[in-house]
Amino acid sequence: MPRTLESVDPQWAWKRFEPTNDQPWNRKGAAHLFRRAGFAATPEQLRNAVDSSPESVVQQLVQNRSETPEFIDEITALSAASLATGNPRRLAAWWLHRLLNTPDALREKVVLFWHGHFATGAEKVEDAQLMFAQNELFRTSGLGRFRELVQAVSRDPAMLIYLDSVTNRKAHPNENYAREVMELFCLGEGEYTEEDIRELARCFTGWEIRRDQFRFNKYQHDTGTKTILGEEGIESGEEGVDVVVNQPACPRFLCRKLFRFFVTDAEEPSDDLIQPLADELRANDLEIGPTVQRMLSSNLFFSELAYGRKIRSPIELSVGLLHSLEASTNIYTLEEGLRVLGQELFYPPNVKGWDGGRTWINSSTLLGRANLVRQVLDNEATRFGRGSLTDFCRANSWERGEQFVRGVVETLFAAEPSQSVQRDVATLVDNTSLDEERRRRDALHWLCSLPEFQLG
Amino acid sequence: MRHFIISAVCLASLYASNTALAQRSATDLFPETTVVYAEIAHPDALLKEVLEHSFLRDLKRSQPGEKLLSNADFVQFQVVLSFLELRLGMTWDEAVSALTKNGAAIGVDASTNGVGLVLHGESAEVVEELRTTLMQMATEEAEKKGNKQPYKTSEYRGVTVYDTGNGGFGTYESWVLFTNNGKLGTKMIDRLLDGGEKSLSQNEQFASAVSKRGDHDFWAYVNLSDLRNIPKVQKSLSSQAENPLVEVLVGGLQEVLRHTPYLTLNADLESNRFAIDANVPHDPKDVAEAREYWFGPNGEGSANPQLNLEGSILSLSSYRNVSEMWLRAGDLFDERMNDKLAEADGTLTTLFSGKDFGEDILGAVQPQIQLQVVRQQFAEDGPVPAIKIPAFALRLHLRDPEASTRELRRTFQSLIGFLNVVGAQNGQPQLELDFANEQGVDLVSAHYVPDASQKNSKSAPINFNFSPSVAFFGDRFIVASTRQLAEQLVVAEPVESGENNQQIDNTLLSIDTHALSDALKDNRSQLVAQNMLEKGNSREEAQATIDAILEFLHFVNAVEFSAATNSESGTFGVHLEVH
Repeated sequence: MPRTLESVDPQWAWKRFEPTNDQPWNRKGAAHLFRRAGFAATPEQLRNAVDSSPESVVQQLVQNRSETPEFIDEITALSAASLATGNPRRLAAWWLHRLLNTPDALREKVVLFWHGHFATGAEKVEDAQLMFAQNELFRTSGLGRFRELVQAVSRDPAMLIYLDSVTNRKAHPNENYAREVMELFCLGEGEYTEEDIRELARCFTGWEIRRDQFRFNKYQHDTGTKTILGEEGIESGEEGVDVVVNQPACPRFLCRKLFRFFVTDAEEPSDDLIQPLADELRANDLEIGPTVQRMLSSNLFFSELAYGRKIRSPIELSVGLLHSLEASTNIYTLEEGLRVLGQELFYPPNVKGWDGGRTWINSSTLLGRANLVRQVLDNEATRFGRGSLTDFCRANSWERGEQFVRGVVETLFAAEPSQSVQRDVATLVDNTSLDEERRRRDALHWLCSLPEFQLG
Repeated sequence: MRHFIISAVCLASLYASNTALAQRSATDLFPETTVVYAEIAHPDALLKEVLEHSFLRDLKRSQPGEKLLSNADFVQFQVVLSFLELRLGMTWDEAVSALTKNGAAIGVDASTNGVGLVLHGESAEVVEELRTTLMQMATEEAEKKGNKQPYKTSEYRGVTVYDTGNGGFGTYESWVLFTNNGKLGTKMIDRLLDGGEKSLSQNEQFASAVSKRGDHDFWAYVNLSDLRNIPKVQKSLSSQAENPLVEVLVGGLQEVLRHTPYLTLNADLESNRFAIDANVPHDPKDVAEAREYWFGPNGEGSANPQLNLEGSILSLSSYRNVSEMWLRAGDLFDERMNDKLAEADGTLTTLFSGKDFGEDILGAVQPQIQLQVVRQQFAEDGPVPAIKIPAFALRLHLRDPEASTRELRRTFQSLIGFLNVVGAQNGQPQLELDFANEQGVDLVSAHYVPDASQKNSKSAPINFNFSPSVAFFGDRFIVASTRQLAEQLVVAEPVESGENNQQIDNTLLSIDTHALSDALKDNRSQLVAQNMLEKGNSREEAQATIDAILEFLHFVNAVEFSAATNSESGTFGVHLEVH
C-alpha cells in the first residue's frame, strides 16, 4: 500500500476497488463514502450499505434520482416561501434544510462544489431569485457536461452581476468574466495569456443583463474575428467558451479540483496521477458524473491515502453531524453559526470561493466549531429522529456508554479518537447521577470537539 | 417570584368564638400593611363555570386539546388524580369546592415580605377530613420513597402548625392558612383567633376601594402608594421613554400609575365573555404637562367612535395629540431618543418640502386618530403577492382642510416621486400615480406596474401588497397602504354605540380574531415554511402546529381593549368575546 500520493501508481489508483480479506467492505469504508459523497450516513444507511457492494452503492449515489415527488413538492413549497421574502439569507436556510434532508446527498454535494467553483455572492447580487436560479442550474447540470454548464453560467444573471459584467460594450470590453473563465473556472493560472483574456472578452461583448435576464445586444457585439489560445476565426461568446473548454488543461484542472473536494486536500496530486482521470473526462465529452463515480469507487478513494485526509468544512461538519443522527434543528441558528465560521451559503468570501483544506482550521475556528455544535445541541428545537437523543440511542442499541461511543465513532469519525478519551466519554454517558439526555448531549459535544472529528 | 414556598402557620385559639369566626373575612386576617390582595368570593361557582364553559369544551375537542389530553404526562397525571379522588372519596373539583366554599384570598404583606393564602372551607369537619387524608398520603408517599416525614409539627397559641421547611400551613375550624413566612403566619393566626392588631379591612384606603368593589368573580387590590416606595418601581414609573411607539401606546397608563393611590382589578367570566378591568382613582389635574397630549386639556381628550368596516382585523381609535408629543419630546424621551428624533425631524422636514414636521405636518391634524387594519382581497386578473400583508390605514381629521389639503396632496406626490427615484436606483419596480375626484372625495393613489411576467402571477413580489393612497373628504384625511382601503375608509361610518355614560373614551381597540385567522390563513404556506426552518419540524408537524394556532384563534371572536377616564377615575379594560 503506497504511503504518499507521490508513490501511487495511477493505474492502481483509479482501478475499481474490490474488497479483499485484507481490505474488506465494512462500515468504515461505507461511512467514508457517505461522508465524501454526501454529508455522512445514518446508522441505517450504513447497515444497508455494508449489505451491498461498494460499486453498487456508488452507482446508486451518482446515478439515482432518489428525491421523491413528495420531497420535491415540500422543497418547492419551501423555496417559494423563502423567495417570497426576497432575502437571500432565507434562501440559505432553505438550502441548508435541503442539504440536511435530501435523500440525494451526492447531488447536493455537487451543487455545493459548483457553488464554490463558480462562486457568486448574494451581497452583491442582492436578488434571491437570481441566486436560486443559479443554484438550480448547478443541481440540474452539475453532473452533466461541463461545456454546457460553463455556457449556461456565462449567461447566468447572478454570475454576470457578481462579476460586474451586466453590460459589455464593444468599445470597452469587460475582461472580468473572461479572466475568471480561464483562471478560476476552466484552465488555471499559466494556461493562457493576457491577450487571450482580451480576445475572449471581445467575444462576450453585447452580452448583457436587463431586468434580471440575459440579453444579446447585437449592436454592442464586436463582430471582428478573434484569436484565442492560438485558435483563429472565433466570433461569438459561445465559440470562445468552446475553445477554452477544448484545451487539454481543462479536464486536468477540473479533475484536480474534484480530487481535492472528494478524495483528499492533504496533498497535491501529481499530473501523472490526475491524467488518467482527465483522459476519461475528455473521452466522456467532459461529463462530470462518470468521473465522480470513477473517483468514488477507486482503490485510491478506499485507501489510507483518502481516509480522514480531508478537513471537514463547517457545512460538512454540522450537516454531517445532524444528518447522521437524523436530527432536525433551528435552521436559522445553524445558518448564523455557519456565517460566524466563514461558510455562509450564497455568500462565498470572493470569486475564488472557499479555500478549504487547512484554512478551515485555526485556534479561533476550532473553538467556534465546538461552540456551533454546543449551540445546536442546546437548541430547544433540536431533535434526533423526531425525538430525544436518548430515544435515538435506544433505537440504535447505543444505550450503554461504550455502545454510544462506538456508534458515534463508527458513524461520524474518519479517524478514531484515543482509547482513553473514548473510555472517559463512555463513563460520562454511564454516570446515572446526571440527567440521561443531558449527559448524552454533553458526551456528543465532547466527541465532536475532538481534533479527530474535524477530519472528514 | 422566588420559590413560592409555603411556610406554616397555625391553628386557632380555644377561646375564639365560632360566631366571631363565621363573621370574619379574609381581609380581617391580613395585616394592614398588605400591599397586594386578591380574592375569589365564590370559587366553587367559578370552578363550575370554568369546567362547563363552552370555550374549554371546544378546546378539549380541538386538535391541540386532544393532543394535550393524550399526552403521556397528562395521562399519568390523570391516574394520580384518580387515586387521589379515590382516597378523598370525592372528585378533585368537589374537594376544591369544599375547601373554598366560603372564599379564597391571597395577599402580599410589605412588613414581612410574606405571601399568605387563605381558604375558607365549607365546614370544620370537611376541612379536617381533607387535611387528614392529604397529610396521610404525603406521609405514605415519603415513606415509600424512603424520604423523611414531609413536615414538622409545632404549636402556636395552641394551634398545630405544619412546617414543610420552606413554608407551612395550618387549619382552624373551617379556615385553612398557608404562608411562606412565619411572621406573617403568626400575624394571620392572631387576627383569626382574637382580632389581633389592625387588619387590612381597617385600612382606610382599602376600605375606600372595597366600597366600590361590586360583585365580581375575581377582585384584587394593589396599594400603589406603598409600592411606589420600592426604588425599582419608582424608577420604572419616573423614567423617560426610550421608544416613541411605546410612549404613544402606554405613556398615559404610566402617568396614571405615577400618582394614583391604588389600583383595583376585577375579572368576570360569562358564557360568551371574559372581562378584566383595572380601575384607579384619577384626577386629571394630577397629569403632568408633558402627558397632556395623551389625555387632552383638563383630561377631556376623547377618541372618535370606532368605524364600521368589513373585514377589519384591528380597529384602533384614540386621542393622541402627536404634534404636542413631538414638540414635547425633550420632556418625554431620554437623550438617545431625543438625538434620533432631532435627526428624524430634519429628514422629515426636508421630505415634506421644508414644512416643520412637528408643527405644520402633525399639527395639521386633530388628535383623534384612527388606525384600521383589514384583510386584503386581490383581483383575479392582477398580480397576487406570495406574502399577503393586510392593508392598513390612518383616518385623521384636518384642522383646516382648505389650507392643508393641497399641501398634503402635493407632499404625497413628492413622496411617491422620491420612492420612485430610490426604487430605480435599487432596481425596484416603479409606482404610477392615479388621480380621482368623485362625489367630493379627492383620491390620489399610486400602484406598482407589473411587467409581463408578473401580470397574472400568483406569487408576485411583496410590493404588490401596496398601492399607497391618500384621500380627502371634508375634514377627513386618509393615509392608506392600499387604494381600496382608502376608498372604504373615507366614507366609513362609526359603529353605533348603545352605551352612554359619563366616561370619556381615550382609547378603543378591537381585534377580530376570525379576520386575523383568515389573514394568517392567506399566508399559511409561509407560516408552515417558517415553522419548519425555525422549529426543525417536518412538513406535517409544521402544518399541524399552524393549523392548531389558526383553530385556536377561532375559539375567540374578538378581543377589545379600552381606556376611559372621568373626573374621578380611570378604567382600563380587556374583554374577550368567545363562542
